[in-house]
Amino acid sequence: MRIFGKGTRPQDDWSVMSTVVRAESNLRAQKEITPARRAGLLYRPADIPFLNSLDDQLREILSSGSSATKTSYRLEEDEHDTRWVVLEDANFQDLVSSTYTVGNAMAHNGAADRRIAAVFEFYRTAVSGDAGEWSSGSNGYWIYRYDRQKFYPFVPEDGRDRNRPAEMQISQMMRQAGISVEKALEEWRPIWGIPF
Amino acid sequence: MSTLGHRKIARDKGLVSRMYTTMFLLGLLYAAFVLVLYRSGMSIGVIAVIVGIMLMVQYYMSDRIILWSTGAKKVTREQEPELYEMVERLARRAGMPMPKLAVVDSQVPNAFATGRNPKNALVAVTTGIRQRLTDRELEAVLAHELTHVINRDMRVLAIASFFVTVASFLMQMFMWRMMFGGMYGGRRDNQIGAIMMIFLVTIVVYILGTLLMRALSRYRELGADHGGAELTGDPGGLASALEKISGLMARIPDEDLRKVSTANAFMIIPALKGNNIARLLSTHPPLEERVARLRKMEREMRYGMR
Repeated sequence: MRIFGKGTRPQDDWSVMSTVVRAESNLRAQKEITPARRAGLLYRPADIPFLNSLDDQLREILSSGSSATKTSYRLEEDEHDTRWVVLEDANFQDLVSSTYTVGNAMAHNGAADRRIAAVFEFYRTAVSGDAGEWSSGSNGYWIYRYDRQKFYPFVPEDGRDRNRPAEMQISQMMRQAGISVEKALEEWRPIWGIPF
Repeated sequence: MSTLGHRKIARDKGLVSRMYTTMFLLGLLYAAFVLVLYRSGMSIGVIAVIVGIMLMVQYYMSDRIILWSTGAKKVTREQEPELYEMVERLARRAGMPMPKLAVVDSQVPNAFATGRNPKNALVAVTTGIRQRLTDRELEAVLAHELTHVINRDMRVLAIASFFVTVASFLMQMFMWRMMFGGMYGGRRDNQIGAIMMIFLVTIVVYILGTLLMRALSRYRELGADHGGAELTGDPGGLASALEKISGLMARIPDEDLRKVSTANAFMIIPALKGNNIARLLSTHPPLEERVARLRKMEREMRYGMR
């Protein structure tokens, strides 16, 4: 059953999410940030059959593709009463596509507005001396908000702090690489305690 | 107007716009003064000489006028050794004499330079900017200001300002001829209205001139970003200073995404585009553009990418 009438959404999630896939080679050339192998889909639980049997559903979805990806997953609960599908895949393109597929399956099974965000981890591979003390080898996240259909960077720092200078700098890099970045800084909401 | 527009105006309402307002009012004062002289029967030649002298005084006193209008206090090496040495280092690298250095006691983070040439330059920073920026960022800001001096931007703008004054003066003359030389000749009851009219036109010409000058100023600003970044060899320093000063970064929230209501999720309000007037009046290019240019330059310097 389709939840959305035609044209209620400005565009589909894949057209935005795939921008990170296309940006990957560009970012690798810049050598500053490299997509990692982990991603997560954050959602609010609800009494919906699909979500109640999510584990079984995911097993089917992620292993049923014609060229079945090697994406592995686990389910996590966090202290905000929200839940995570944590996905792992050494191939970034497969990782993004699996994450999209999980979100898409939720949307088609009555849980579209239970989805909050898709989160992709990345590593900082070089230090430009900018952005404070953010050192090489530390990680950050690209957050894709389902309600706004845009990406933004999130670089948490010990506990409940975020490295804003690093985020500003990374957002420039993301734009340059062709990723669709959220323009309104007020909407760059953090997600504290990401479980990966 | 978007909040960004508001913020930009709020930022400009600090030092820079006080400087511009002072200059603008001075210009209007000239116009009124010339009008009075002319009405008192003085010949155009004598008026030209007087105006010339006044402009010279303004040109040579501009640093004092600016010190006065911003409340900046000059400081010596003994009073501010670190700041002084930072500027000294940059000046040496740029091959210019050490400029005068001043500090403005203000929480508004800002910096500016003035002076008709590198020998008579003054660079000022606020106490607010020193508190907020790291040394690396402060150095980038100072290099930007020194580049204004090296590029003789004050002179360029002073000359532009001179042309604006001359243009408004010529416009006045033209209007006088039209209104009093011909059909209105000598009729007293029309004179007050005509004088008002002439003064209004003068103001309009002056405002147009000011808009042009601001466009010129925005252009010189990009030039100073570029030159300053070359002077420090570190475009990223200026980019992150600009981001910090602008208060842009403060808009990145702390509140968790999970606490945001998603009720209106799909009613995305398009960003307002009513920024054009603010852009026209602004003396500085949009911050995003400046930062993007600097970041690009940074990447080019690091990887030789084009």
